[in-house]
Amino acid sequence: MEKNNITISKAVVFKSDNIDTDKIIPARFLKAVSRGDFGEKLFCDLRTNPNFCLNQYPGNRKILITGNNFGCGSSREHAVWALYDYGFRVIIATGFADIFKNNAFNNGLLPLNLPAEQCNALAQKAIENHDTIFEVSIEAQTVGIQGSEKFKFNIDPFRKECLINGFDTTQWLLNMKDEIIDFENTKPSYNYE
Amino acid sequence: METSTLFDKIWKAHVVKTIEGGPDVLFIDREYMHEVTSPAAFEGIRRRGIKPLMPERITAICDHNIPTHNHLRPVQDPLSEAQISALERNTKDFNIPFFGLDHPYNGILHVVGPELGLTQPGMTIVCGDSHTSTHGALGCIAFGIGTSEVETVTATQCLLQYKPKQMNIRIEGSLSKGVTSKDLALYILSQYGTDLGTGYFIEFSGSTISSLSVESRMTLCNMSIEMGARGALIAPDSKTIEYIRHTPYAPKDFNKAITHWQTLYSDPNAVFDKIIEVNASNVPVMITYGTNPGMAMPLDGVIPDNSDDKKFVRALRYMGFAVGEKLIGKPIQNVFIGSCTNGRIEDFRLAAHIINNRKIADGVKVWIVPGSAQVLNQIKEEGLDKIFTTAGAELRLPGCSACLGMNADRVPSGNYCVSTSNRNFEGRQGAGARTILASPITAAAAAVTGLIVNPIEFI
Repeated sequence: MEKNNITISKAVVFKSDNIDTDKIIPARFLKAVSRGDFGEKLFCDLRTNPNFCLNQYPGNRKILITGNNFGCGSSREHAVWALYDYGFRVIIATGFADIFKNNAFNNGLLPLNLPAEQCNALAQKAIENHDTIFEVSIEAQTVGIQGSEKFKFNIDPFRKECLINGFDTTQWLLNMKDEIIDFENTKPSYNYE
Repeated sequence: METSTLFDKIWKAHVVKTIEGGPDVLFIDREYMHEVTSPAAFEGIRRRGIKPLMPERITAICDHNIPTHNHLRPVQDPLSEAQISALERNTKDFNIPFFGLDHPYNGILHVVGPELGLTQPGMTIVCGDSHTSTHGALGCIAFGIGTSEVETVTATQCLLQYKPKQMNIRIEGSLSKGVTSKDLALYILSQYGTDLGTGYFIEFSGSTISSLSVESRMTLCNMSIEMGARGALIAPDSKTIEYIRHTPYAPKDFNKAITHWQTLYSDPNAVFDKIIEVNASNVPVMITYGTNPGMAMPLDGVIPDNSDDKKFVRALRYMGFAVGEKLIGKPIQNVFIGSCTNGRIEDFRLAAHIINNRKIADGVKVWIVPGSAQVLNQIKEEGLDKIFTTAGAELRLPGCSACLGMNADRVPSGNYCVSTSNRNFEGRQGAGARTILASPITAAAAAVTGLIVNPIEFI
């Protein structure tokens, strides 16, 4: 997993609630057998519309500002891969679906939760001027317009450490393999033989 | 005295270690695996040069993209075939139990796991599929995970997990005639929305839940993910025990298992972060009119006005419906009865009861897709197959099928499909397809009339 700490970028605004993972990447693109590049499939059914946000906010942008309950629906991690491969490193929303949030953290994508008022304020700035540059620091837990006052955001200390250092949770758990095997051996229930 | 919820008890028994200021290391009793979300996980395992830690705790099945008109190999779509072959190879290489297309235990994971007794009370269960919540109906903690977590749990039999908040949905009273647990799920969604459960794990309890069959409980827990929850569970009772008793993977020392299972309930004063009370007698036959499962209303209701919301307006435009409109009497073109939500024998009995001695309406395509090979056998043993085929419905082979249209079972653009599945998202059943979620009873009534009708008249 790549490290993620400071992101300085223009943003894309897709201000809508309940954007589901079917919308982020439709099921027909889930047939790959390897990780590959899913960036071009991101929101592919919506992108055909010239007014869709990805067409309205061109160029390499690392921040997506959206609404509530982002990433709901199917557990497909392809949704996170599509966002990440497209170039996003931070999703700012007023709320995330649980599985999506875990998937995002596991791939080095920051799901940044802000109160509606702050999220709307940032979206408004980006809408008024598409070239507004935002700055996110995971270390300092701040988000805002570059050179202006920032909002603080919350992040779990463990998740923060993993993102900043690019720690992989599988490797972390593999290091305690013996402990896990001991746990299974001493756990009496579920082996009713 | 310290009190615990059912969820607390199961969770606590599986914590290998707690990380200070971080998540718990949670031991996973069983992992289910399918062809779509597992290939990249195995790629990661191979890249690391490791093997699954406890392959006997994994069960793998192909269900998402398999054809349902036949199960011949190679399947026509080369991408699907590649995923199926990859799962065959991966399970063979790593000694993981696998129920392939020709195996008598093939079917949808969330139907097969419980019917085989692989899913048991008190367990922790995960799968790279959001509807893993289904298994919670048997009194276990079961939830969906992403592919990187599939890799983690396959490699270590553990996950790093934060204990979620807990919600108790208490449901009291009797459901009216013709009202199923699917209607109950859609009713809760219509009242509280699709983000009701975000951040929560739900326990369903109350007299209504006790009176439901285990299969109906699965339908309800299945839909908990649509309520935004990670999952839901229901305390095991005598029905749960009897459901598991004669399954192939039932515990060998069954009495010992029962003794343990009987300790699995929320203590009388257990503390929940949120409690919701539902009166079952208020629940009507439900139907969806929009493009998320929360856009549901009583079957005989009128579409509410929420025009201030741009998404609402877009949803109605997609569905071709208008504010204030009734759906009763609207023509439909497709009916899909199946999926991990409503693909069990009980669901097909309900549908067959309505279709019996009737004909499928002209111009309506009806797919009856059993949730598993075992369910298909039951359908045949009970003679329901003749009822369906004589009427003109297509009885298919098991698979996820038109629930998500990953195989060829797609609803044509613009068509209305009354579907017993779980999601009515735009394009889910095919580009431009218009999904109307309902119970098997309502779907069967639509099949024989070609219209959205009140199914009560047909029972």
